[in-house]
Amino acid sequence: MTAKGMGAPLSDELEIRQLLERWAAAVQACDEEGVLRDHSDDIIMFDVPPPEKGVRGIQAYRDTWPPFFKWLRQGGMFEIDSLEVTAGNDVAFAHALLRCSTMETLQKHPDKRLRLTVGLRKTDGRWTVAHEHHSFTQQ
Amino acid sequence: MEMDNRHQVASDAAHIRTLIENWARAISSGDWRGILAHHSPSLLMFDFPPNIVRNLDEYNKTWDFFYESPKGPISFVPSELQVTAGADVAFASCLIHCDGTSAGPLDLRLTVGLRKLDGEWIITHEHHSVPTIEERFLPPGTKH
Repeated sequence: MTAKGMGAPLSDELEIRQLLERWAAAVQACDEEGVLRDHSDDIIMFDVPPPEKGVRGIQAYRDTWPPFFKWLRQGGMFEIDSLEVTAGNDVAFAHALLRCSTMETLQKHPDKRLRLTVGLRKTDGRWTVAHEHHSFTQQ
Repeated sequence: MEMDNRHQVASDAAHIRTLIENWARAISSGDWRGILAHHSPSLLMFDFPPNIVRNLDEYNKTWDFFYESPKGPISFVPSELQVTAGADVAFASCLIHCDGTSAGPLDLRLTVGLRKLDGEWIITHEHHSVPTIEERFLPPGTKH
């Protein structure tokens, strides 16, 4: 699914792809500022763990990362395996599969992936993430 | 021009809201045609399980279990529906309370991605999930 095919400038799709790759690299590096950089104040996140009704607002989103960074520092990985972006001029969404496991888990379950859907808005010429939905494939 | 755009976006958001509410109502009433009415043939769905569903035929089959051995009237009710619509791409998120199926009562989180093709909004992506508690994500000392 390419932005080119729908008549939107290719640069929007590329810009979003790079934004998400940069974000995933910031997660892997446990770089909190990098993780938050392109996110909107009113973000709604459906995270892997509860709360069931989602994490709402940038402060609550920020608070989800320290325990996850702790796990990453113990040998977890957070790598984009595949990513598809659907970009319009001012609204976009993307879905991706990520390797979010330890090497040990991946050896036992090589197909295990984190499923991620992201919603974005362009405000003042800049793409920001307004929604994230994370869940695991089931074994 | 600016004002016209804003009106169009507001009207698209309202249209998508209605589309999702009607889709949920079609699920509640077992209206197969209504369930599939606004979906892309190449839809990609993150379901639970069988996990990843590609294309409309497979998508159609995922609803079978809904109507097999129901425990009562089927309900599939969205709340906190938020729609973000642009000129030709949109996304929406909501919570879903589902009841009556053989799985019993279930609360889901749902994200939908849409594109406007030939003047019509079409769902090209759905992500359904329930939260999962993985021990390794819990802060040390958390009781569960």
